[in-house]
Amino acid sequence: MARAAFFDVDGTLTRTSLFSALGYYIRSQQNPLFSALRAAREAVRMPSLAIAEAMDRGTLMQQLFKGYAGMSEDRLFVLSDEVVDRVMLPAMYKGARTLVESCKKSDITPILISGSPDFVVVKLGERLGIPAGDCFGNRLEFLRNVATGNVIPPVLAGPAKAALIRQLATERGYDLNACFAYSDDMADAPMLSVVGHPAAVNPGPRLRIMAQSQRWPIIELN
Amino acid sequence: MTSTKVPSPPTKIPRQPLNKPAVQAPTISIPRNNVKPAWDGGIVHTDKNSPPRVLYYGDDFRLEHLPVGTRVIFPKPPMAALNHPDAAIRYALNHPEEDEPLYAKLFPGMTVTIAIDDISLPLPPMKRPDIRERILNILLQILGDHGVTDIEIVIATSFHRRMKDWEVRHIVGDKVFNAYWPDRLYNHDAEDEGMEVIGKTERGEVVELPRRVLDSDLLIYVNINLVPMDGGNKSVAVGLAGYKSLRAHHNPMTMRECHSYMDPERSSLHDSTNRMGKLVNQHCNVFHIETAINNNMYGGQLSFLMKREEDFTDLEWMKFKGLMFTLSKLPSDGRTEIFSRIEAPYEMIGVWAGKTEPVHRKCLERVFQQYAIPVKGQADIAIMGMPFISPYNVHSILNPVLVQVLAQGYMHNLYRGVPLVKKGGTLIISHPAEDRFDAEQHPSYIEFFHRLLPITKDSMTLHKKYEEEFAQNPIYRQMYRRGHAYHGVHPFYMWYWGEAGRQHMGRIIVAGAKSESVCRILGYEPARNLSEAVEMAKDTAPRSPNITMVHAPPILVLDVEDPTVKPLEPADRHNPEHHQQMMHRHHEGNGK
Repeated sequence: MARAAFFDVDGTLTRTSLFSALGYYIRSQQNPLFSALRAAREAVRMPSLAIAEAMDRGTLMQQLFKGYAGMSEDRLFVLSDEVVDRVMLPAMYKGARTLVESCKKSDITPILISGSPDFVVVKLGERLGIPAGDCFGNRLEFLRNVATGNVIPPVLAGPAKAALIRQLATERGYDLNACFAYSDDMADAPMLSVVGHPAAVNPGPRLRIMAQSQRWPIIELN
Repeated sequence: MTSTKVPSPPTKIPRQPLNKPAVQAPTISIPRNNVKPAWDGGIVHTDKNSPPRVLYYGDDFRLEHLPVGTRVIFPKPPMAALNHPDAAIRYALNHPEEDEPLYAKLFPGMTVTIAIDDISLPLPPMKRPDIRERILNILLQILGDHGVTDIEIVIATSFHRRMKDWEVRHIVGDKVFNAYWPDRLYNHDAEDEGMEVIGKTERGEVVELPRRVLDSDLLIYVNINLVPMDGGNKSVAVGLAGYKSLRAHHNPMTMRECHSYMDPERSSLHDSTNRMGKLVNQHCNVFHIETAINNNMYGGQLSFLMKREEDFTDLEWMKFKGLMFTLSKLPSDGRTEIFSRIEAPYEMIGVWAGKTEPVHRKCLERVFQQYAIPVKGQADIAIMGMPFISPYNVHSILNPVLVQVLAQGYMHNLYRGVPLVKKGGTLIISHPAEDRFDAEQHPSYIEFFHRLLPITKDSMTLHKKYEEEFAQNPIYRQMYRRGHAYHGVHPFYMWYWGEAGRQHMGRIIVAGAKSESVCRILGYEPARNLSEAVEMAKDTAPRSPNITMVHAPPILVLDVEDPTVKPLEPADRHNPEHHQQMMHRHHEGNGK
């Protein structure tokens, strides 16, 4: 049966976080005043983001993506190349590309499943030689080509990632017992749990403890 | 005025009644004024006055009374060290075996790669200066004097884990480490894209080596020979190889045909690496340096472990009791930590340089002088303590798969001639056999042990059905290349290395086993203590069984002679198609 390797992106393959892409878009507004205004607005929202993160990853994403509100669709798409080339690739872990290549060498389909916007994930996939159909991210809602700041449900985080993996396995005939999953964050424990070969990559303390107790391999990509 | 403290006499320990049956520690009885049995070339027969024996029990010890009549085999005392090791190294480099002196091979601007053995040798790691440090310092000075600047040092790890920087510093010394690490002193990567196939032997065994080695004008291999299995053509053909090469001999068929792999004359593994070595020599200019060390494994406060119990002083018995008490109060991780700090005071007893095979012959001769113990007659039941260390768990845990390779692999194979245990006999090992694994060093062992062994213990099935999957597992590959993990396929090799022992032994009983499930998965039988294990073993033994305890480590090699048993040699020597026939038969068997 076919096999796949599901990769979380931020913190797993790259040193970036969910804030990195948004930060670049804010810095790259049409003029510095707009950038300053947006940055100030995000600073004000920080406490609410911290509360959202404490609740769950899905709520955090919904709150975080409100930062994209008012940005035009074409601008987001055009700048996504720059986000990948200037922010994500320089922050890619040394062993990340080898890991993806190693999967391909072993006839394992690499699939990116990230909480970042889908247009960014697709561009990153391009750089890693992963087709767009195998790159999944959160989908921003647009109204008349302008981002509303809402995420089209389901929000790709936590259990939703696990659900997507199960769905892909059903549709494409992957044997989940023979599939791989890689993540750095405890929020992705469901995603790691549905496959036969999970691995904690550069894990935080909570995921490290879980990986040790579950005897999952721990990979340091630094 | 200073007061002088008078040392108090050692605590009197009541003598145990002589007719008391064998008992399990911690009831320690230490007979005093006992009559010293006659020394017979390292072999002692237990009588009623014999002291209890120290048995390794993983990262702990047990003190056990053996049944009367038990034959105990002790290693030889350490041979005298070379007085001037540096001078001996220089002499070897200038007076090589069947080769021109090193200086005659050198010219300015040439490319030199030096390969050194990894952390699996010696065991435990030796005190500084390590032999490799001595040799490297001399080599690099000679190379520098001859204008050679393009020098790289590769640690021949094969599929072993990458060594950590502080471990590398320990074996090569500060001077070399500071000058070469990490760009010109590094761990071998068997998965590197630069691995290149140089050809096949007449038996079709693929030989691949790193590009850097092939591009070098000279390859110098620096070996430490701890056991007779080490060194020779195996150094380059295994140490610097990749999967395509390793699978040619690291397979159940080859391992079954090693009688034993400590006896290169009767080892199919060595036949294979010798064929590969010939091909290597056609493509590389190899200058081989081999060193032999004595068996001086313990020094300082632990030096009493090198002695026979008959020779323990009262102070040493107290030290031993103190050690056991301390260990009993520590958690497993604490004990592992203590044992991982042991450094052996090994000393060099010989060094040779030149062409691989003549150098190896000389080295083996010296190694056997240190280790070989003549033994008459096989045993029905053998008793062996399993120590805390194997070549594959330095600074780590001896997990159950490694217990297996130590028992059925290394300890079983410590013979020339015929095995110590009779065919179908029983081996009793002393080890807690707990479900403990090091997730950093042995990640694939966990899956191998918990997923595969419950399905099958058959090496052939594991080899054919599952080995490739583990070899190509990207997680394990990544952890091997970037972390400090043994390669994904390594637990398979460990299982194969126990293959000859598995085919030979009738039963294996684990005295002091703490986990019944671990024993069951390995195919072993648990016993609460040694007395129980011996009673269990007697159930399937002849009426008056020959019980033999091997008092190791330190290491020994048994030259077992038994007129009723003919020594075996690899079947494929006379029938080159043997492997293929076995494989074919196996496939047919599976098909049915």
